[in-house]
Formats: sequence, structure tokens, C-alpha cells
Amino acid sequence: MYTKFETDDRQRDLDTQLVYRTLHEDKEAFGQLVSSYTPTFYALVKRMAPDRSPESIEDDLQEIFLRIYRALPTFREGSPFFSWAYTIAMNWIRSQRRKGRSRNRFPPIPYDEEVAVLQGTHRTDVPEEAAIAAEAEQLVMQALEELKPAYREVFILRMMQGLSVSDTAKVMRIPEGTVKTYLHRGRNKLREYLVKHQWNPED
Amino acid sequence: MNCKECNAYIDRLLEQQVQTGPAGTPLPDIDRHVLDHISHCHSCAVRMQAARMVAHPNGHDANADLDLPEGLQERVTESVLAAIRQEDAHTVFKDRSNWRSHLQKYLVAAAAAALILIPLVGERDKGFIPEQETTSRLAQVVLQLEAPQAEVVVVVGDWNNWDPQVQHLAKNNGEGTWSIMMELERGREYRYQFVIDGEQWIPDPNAYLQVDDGFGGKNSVLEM
Repeated sequence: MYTKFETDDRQRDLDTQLVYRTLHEDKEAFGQLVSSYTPTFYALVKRMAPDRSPESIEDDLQEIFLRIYRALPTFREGSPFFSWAYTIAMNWIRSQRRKGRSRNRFPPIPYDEEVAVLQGTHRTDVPEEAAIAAEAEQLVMQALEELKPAYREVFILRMMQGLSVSDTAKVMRIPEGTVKTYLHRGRNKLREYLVKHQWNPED
Repeated sequence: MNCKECNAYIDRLLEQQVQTGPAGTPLPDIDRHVLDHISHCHSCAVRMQAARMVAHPNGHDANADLDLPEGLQERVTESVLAAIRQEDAHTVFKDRSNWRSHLQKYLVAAAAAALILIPLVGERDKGFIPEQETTSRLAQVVLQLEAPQAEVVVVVGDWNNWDPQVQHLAKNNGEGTWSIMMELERGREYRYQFVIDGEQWIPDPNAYLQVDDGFGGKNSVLEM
């Protein structure tokens, strides 16, 4: 049985209804799918292409959803829309990376700011927990750029986007066993990178 | 506890999780001395959070920390619907009356591609679309492929006898996106592939279903 998260049959049913309505009744129904999936794909684009500005990501989202819309006639009704849409989004993001639009490495933290972080004197106007989470993600994203693309994509889908192993396998079109292998290797590489580059502060 | 000791603890914890535990194994209870340290050390708190992200998927809520721009969903929804209305793409799902005017509207953003595509579609008289069709039996579909390095992209399938000479995709100016609008019979299932530069045969990466083609490759399946 397909589930988007652990169990989300209601979301699957809603997606199926909206796809049907778009194809057979009212194309405006597609707007509900767009609204529903915008946060998910915003997060996906931001993680897959961390140097994109919020404005650029909005443009990316429009392109992704238009491609999903144009491909709807090829969608088998009753199948999981979630993983099918994710596959189209990933294909587009990959094509943009190949074009070099997101090829710039994640910008390093400026020296002074890095020193401030290490000394624990980093100032921020945002709540402390949110600042910690944001910096931690930045740290992990830098490390992710060192991974092979397949390992990076599996890590982002499974660990950051919260997809199950099964859904990750569907989106990546690889066996579940391969997902687990890539995940294990990717996490190992991330650990090595983090230890080597970031985790040696002086007391 | 100082940062060096805290760092060593985090590294041991992460090594244990990565080597022995599958992703999703709950993190063990954190040593209280470590918790006390990271409560007032920003840099070590960041490292502990990073370790959680690497070790455990539930240690990082998928979307919660990304600060979605205000009004994002509304803007994206409206821009997508506006683009759909502009393309007049509802004719993709209806009968083919006035299909030429709709085709031109769809290609308005790629005028050069439109000039290429209209004559190609005009080749319907050459027989790759049955001449006996009725308006209610046909539906339009758009196939698209990202191939910025390609010089020529064609679609081959069981509706055009897998002939790589007849149906060329048009390239959107400067984007590397190739597309073609076709008319196919409703209620049928078709097998197809793309051929890039006359040499590389590939299934449609956007197609939901791929099936063996009997030659070691995959055909994409299109259900109308």
C-alpha cells in the first residue's frame, strides 16, 4: 500500500481526486495540488540547490508545477501522484544543475562569522533554536556538496525531506536495497567530512 | 565539560549511529553534561543538531525550519494557474476543434519553436496521424524532454511505427527543453522512446511507467 509519509491515505485520495478533476472537469483544481505541494517542493529545491535565492526558487516552482501539469495525461490515475510528481521535480532540478545554474558551491561562512560561531559569540536576531537549526543545515549542506550526486539525492530525500525508504526508491527509480546502501555510504562520508572540516575547535 | 570534550562525544555518538544503526534508530539519551554544555555553547549546539540530521531523519522536521516566504503558496498557485490559462492548455484534455489556434497560443513564448512545429504537425497528411479520426476520439498530449546538449530530438513509438524521421521535438529557445504536441487516440495505450541525435534511445524520464522493450532497454508507456 502506498503511503506518502508513514500513513497518509487521505492525502493520497485527495491527490487522486484533484488529478481526476483537473483532467476531466476543471483545470483550476490543479491549483489545490500546487498549494498543497509548494512547501514540500520549496524545501526540495532549496536543499538540492542551496545557492538559489527565494525569488529564484519561486520561479523554479512555477516551472516544476507546469511540467507536472503538462505531463498529467501520462499519469496513470490511481497511482501514487506524490512519487510521480517528485520524480518530475527531481528530473527538472537535475537538469538545472547540469546546466550549471546551481553549480556554485555553497558559499563558505565568512572568516569573522566563522570565528564568532566557534567562539559562541554569534549574534542573530532570530530565535536561538531556529538559528541553530539553520546553521546546522548549512553545515550539512556544505558537506553534502562533497557527495556523489546519487548519495546526496538519497540523503536529501530520505533524511531531510522525510520520505520513506520505499518512496525514496520510487522517486529515484532504484531498488530499496540500493537506497539503504547509498544512505549508509552517504552518512559515512558526511560524518568523515564534518569531523575533518568543522569539528576541531580549540578550547 | 569544554568544547573539545563535547566535540569528541558528538563524534562518538555519530560514529555509532552511522556504523551500527539504520537511519531512524532513536538517538540514545544524551549525557547530561553534554546537554548542559550545548545549552550555553552555540557552536556545539549547532554541531549536535547537524549530527542529529545525519543520524536520524526525524531529528529534522522536513519543512519546519525552512522559513517559507510569506504568501509563497498563494503566489506560486496564482502564477501557475495564470500560466495554464495563458497557454489555454485545457484544450490538451478536450477535443481538437480549433487545435491550430490553441497550438499557436501554446508556443507563443517560443516563437521559433512554433515555426518549426506547425509545419511538422502539418505532416499529419503524411499519415502518422490517421485521417479517419473523429473529433471525439482524439486527445492532445504534450511530451517534453530536458536535453540541453542535444542537436536533434525525436519521439518514436508504436503510433508512428518507431520511425525516427517523422516526429521531431522543438527546442525552446535557450532553455534546453524539447517538446512536442501530438494528437493520439483516446482509450489506447502507447509505447514510445526519445531518440537523441540519432543515436541515443532513452525512455521518457517523466513517464510513470516503463516496460522492457525486448532489446535490453525500456519503453515508456503513455495511456490516453
